[in-house]
Amino acid sequence: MDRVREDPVRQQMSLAFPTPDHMPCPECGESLPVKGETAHVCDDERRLDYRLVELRPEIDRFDGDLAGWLDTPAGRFARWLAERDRR
Amino acid sequence: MQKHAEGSKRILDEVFGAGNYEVADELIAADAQGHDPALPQPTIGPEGLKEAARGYRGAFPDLTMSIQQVVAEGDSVAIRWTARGTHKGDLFGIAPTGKQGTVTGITIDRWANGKIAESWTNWDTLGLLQQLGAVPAALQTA
Repeated sequence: MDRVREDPVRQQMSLAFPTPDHMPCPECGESLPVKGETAHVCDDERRLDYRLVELRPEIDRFDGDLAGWLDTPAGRFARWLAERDRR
Repeated sequence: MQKHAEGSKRILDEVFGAGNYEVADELIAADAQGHDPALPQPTIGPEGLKEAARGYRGAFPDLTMSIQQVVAEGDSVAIRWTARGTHKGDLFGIAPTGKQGTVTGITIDRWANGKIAESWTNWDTLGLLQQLGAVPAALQTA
């Protein structure tokens, strides 16, 4: 915040970009009043949903990597072996 | 005037807040224009409004609308509202964040021949973008 006070350009930016009345909880994403007085407790289900959305790109990347690997000779052999063991 | 106010509230509550899109057919004139600064061009008629509502509800499937104030005068109705929803679909090119957003807005409807003929909405688009992390909030500029 000190940098904002010292830098007139940043001061103007602060004025031009007001803080919203609500901001999401960084843990669960729930919209909370910025000047709220009530204590917030994250809901477990919401926190899990939020984490899954946050991890979505990583999950998609893993899915892509896995699909690519399954198409290699080693991956195809692993699939064959797993299928054989399943029977 | 009371009927107009009830109709304007139904558009927010039922079309945007509950996804009952057919209510637009009942209350929006065929050539009605809807002005929303977040949309590239005015919506036209009930289908245009439905498309806009589907877009917002696609991004925020649990969208709820709460109405704080209604002022009716002559053929116009002004409504001050708050919308809240969880960002689970693309919005303005922003991929789902899972964050819940709360924004306020004001809609003014002009009624003619028993239907909404024109509508102007201003809502806190910047605040929503800040809440979704697409635009820095003031405290984050330091």
